[in-house]
Amino acid sequence: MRPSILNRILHFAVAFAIVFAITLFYRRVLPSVNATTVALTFLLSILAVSTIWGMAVSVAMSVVATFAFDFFFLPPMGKITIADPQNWIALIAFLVVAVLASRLSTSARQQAADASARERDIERLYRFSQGLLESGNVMELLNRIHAQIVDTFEVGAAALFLADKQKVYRSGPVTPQLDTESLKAIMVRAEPVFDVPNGICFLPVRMGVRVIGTLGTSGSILPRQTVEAIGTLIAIAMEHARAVEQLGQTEAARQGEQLRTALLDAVTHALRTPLTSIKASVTNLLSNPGLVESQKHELLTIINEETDRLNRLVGEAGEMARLDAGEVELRLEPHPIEDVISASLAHCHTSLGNRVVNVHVAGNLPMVRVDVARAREALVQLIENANQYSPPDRPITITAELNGNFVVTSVADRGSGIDDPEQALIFEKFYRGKDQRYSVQGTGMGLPIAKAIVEAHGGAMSLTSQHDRGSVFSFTLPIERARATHP
Amino acid sequence: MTSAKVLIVDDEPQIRRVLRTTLASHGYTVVEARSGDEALEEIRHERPDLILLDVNMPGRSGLETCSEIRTASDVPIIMLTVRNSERDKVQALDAGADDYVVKPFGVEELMARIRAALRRVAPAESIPPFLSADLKIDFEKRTVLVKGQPVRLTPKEFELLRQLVANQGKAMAHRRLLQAVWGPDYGEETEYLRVFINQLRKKIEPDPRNPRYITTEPWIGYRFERPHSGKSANKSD
Repeated sequence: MRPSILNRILHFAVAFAIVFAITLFYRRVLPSVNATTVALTFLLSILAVSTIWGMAVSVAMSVVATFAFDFFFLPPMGKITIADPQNWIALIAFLVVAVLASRLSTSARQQAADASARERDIERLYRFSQGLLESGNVMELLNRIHAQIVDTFEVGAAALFLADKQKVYRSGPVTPQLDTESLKAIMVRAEPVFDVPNGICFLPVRMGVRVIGTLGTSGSILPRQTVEAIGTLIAIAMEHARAVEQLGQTEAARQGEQLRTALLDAVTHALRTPLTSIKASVTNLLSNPGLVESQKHELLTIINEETDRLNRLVGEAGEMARLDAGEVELRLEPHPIEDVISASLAHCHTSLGNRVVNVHVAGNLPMVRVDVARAREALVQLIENANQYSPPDRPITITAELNGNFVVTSVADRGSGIDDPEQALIFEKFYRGKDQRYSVQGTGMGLPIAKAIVEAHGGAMSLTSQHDRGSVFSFTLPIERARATHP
Repeated sequence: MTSAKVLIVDDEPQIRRVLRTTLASHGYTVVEARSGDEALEEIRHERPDLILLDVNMPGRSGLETCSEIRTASDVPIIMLTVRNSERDKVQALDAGADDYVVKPFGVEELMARIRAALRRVAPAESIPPFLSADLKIDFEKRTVLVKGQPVRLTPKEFELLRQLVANQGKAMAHRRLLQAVWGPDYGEETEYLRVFINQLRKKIEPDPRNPRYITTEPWIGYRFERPHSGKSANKSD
């Protein structure tokens, strides 16, 4: 930073004042001092001034000090004797010290300033790179690069033109300095342009050797290395974001593909089975005149049952799809969990028959945020499940208790239990218990639907089971207070 | 009306119900099994004349069950499968099934397949035994000896071999072989022949990859011939 004129004048004034003070001191206080001591004192003061205020001040001071030395301390006193060689030696000594010391200190100061500027630039580049690598995808990255540049490098405006998108990303409105045409032109020239007087700088952004776009900044000029580093960082960040995005897409596509295949297999089997029964029954009825009345009745009964099964399957698959797609609107209201349990038990009244059902609800349970009709569907599914898969003389136990911000509702049966490999599959669509497939009618959609309903509430469904001891299906529902504290 | 005993093996109760009624209405005696393990048990006790075997069953699959049955019995097996792909059909035949029916099927088709599978072609004309250095086939006693060792053939394999030997030296067209062995409703199922010829070659050829008895007639069919000594035979397909 250049010192102002006033500051300069002050520096000269102070330098002359020092010469005056030294002269005054030795003339008045120590009049008996010898000339060498005075000369050394001048020399030291010139050294000090040259180090602090530079060459101009110290050279002027040297001249003044030479005259003062000659006039006041060299015989003949009170007279300027230009011809005296002592004079010349003193002047030369003062000037050499002034010039050398000022130059040394100036270069030291310059180096220190350069070093701190470099440090600042590196720090900015580091912050810039951090800012860029935080972006998870290319779109987000592109929309923050210019803002990052303006924030981090304190330039007035920044614009990034990308060839593959044919689009300019700007920190602000279009400015005449950073117009789209210039950005495109730089991209074609593939060389940086520094317009120092106008404070504009253009830089091609390279990915390897390929130019992929142009970066333009205006407002202040950044060092060339910094600008080039910014370009490289942008290229790396874009490559990185693109790779991350692609990885995510590939992974999602692969999982989606697997799921579709598994689902298609399951749907094929689930639909083909009733279709097979129906087709065989119908073709038999059509082609076999020898059927007796009871056989005809049996075949028609099968057709009737299997069309019901197909209908149920289609309905449940539709509901599952709606739940999966998040298209089911929940009417969440605070209710005691007892509402859900009693509604479910009422619904299962007929199918439970004489089975003993124990209900244990912990005292002082907070209300849950729940769509009672939907939650009832889920709990009914668990109760029906326990009812179907455990011997009728064994009780079913329903419990509800608080666990953190959730109420946990469990349905325990004393059936044969579910072994480990099956536990993982049991919530899968169309899966049916391997021993139960022989005897129990079902579509394999009940538990997945129950699970989806619970998850739509923000809860989770889980299963613990022990062989020959029975199974416990549990699900959580968020309590009303939890919603209030975490809006 | 026959009174052959059919074992139905399927895990789906409704399918067993339909098949039970259908087969009973066509005069068959019906036994049921819900799984591969049950089927193996039933075969020992009931000695069925034919097995309808579902491919997709939990636990021991239909294919495994089929291979297991084949280790001890030549009983005709018809597989019930839901997937109508070439690979699945070949897998079923490879496992030792005589035939397969794709679900959902019409009853007429199933009955035709059952009749064909049960059909044991009566030896109308008796064929003299085939004797060579390493292969001896006695059609009267239904025995095959390869290098002196008895080899077990399924009825369909034996019937196929019989047709080929009876027309020794002549190229037998696919359709003719299929109709002769499986019945008049067949003709397009060349994959059956491919699988069964492969199995026959594995059983009777000294080098199944380089067959000398049963050779392939490209685009036409197959031919059985007495190997020419010293001359290498046609490549298998």
